[in-house]
Amino acid sequence: SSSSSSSSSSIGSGSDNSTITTNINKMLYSIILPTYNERDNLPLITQFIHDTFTQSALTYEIIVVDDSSPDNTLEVAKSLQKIFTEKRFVIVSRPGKLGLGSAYSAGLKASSGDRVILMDADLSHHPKFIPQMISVMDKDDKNNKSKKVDIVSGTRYRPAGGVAGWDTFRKLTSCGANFLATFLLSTGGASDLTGSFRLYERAALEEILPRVQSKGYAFQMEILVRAHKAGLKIGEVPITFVDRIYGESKLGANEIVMYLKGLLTLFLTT
Amino acid sequence: MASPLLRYQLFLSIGIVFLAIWKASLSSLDSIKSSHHIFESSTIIEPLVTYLPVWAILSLGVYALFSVLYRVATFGDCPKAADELGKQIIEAKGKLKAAGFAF
Repeated sequence: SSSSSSSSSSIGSGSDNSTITTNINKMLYSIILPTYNERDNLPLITQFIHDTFTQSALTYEIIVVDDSSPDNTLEVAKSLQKIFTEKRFVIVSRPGKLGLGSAYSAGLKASSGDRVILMDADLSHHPKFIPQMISVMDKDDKNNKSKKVDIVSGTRYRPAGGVAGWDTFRKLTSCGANFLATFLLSTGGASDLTGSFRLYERAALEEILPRVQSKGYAFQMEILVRAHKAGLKIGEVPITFVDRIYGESKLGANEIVMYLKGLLTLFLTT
Repeated sequence: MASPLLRYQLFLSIGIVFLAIWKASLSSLDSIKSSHHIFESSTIIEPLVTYLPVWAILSLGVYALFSVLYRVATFGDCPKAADELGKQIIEAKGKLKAAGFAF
């Protein structure tokens, strides 16, 4: 991949300080992809990420955290590593399904980026929104220079955002769950609490991730709640979410109960 | 207070304040009625005050219902994103094959 160029036109806050923009361009972005049975999607998401970052003259590294996928995603990851180089494509192989939280932690440990992106590897999230997230993070807050954005959350629920592939029932449960959470919890105005496509300053993620206990959909919610409680600033970018083109993502009674339990726990402990 | 309120404590506090207001208005129902000539002849005041918690919860429920229904009605469907993705998948497969990836 190309090293940072002196051109600063693709991203940036419009600041006149060329040193700041060059530093931003030199920043390494770590993208952590937990995988379980993603042998079909992993090559595609990798190519998408590579294209997005190359077009924006930004530097990336992908950290795949594979939980011994039975479909041999690991083998696919190794072939991709040969193509995209070990520097840009890091593999963390784990002995079994150990949970999303620990996958993120393992990925974080294996990463060297100044900023970290957490996203899904199943093509429901598109990397094309990452440069927009970076702009929001770098935007100069003219009123209050000290309050820089620490986390940029991709939201499906603002205008310009949305979902492809949800029926009315799914929309009802999602909007209902989101309303309940924003009512019961203190989330600093975030509109999509269960979304899993976010850009983090490394320090922010290192601070918050170890504190998160919930499982399932409540996990992503807990990150934002704890971040807000810790005084971190959360920005938003509308994103489009294409729900699993090979079948809608799971939302059964189990997931709902787990979510409500997580919501109740946060209500009582934050 | 040294530490900020936990969320449930905040709700509890609001609930207690509400109950105090309710109790106070229940016991001074007569003075409320006689405070303004409109209230004296009105038949709404007594049931309103007596069942205040019920009305509050009902209002909350209605607000919640309409908020969610509004959100669903204005929900952003983006079938174009799915189409675009389909095209990009084909392009990406081409690039990967060219780089030597074996599908």
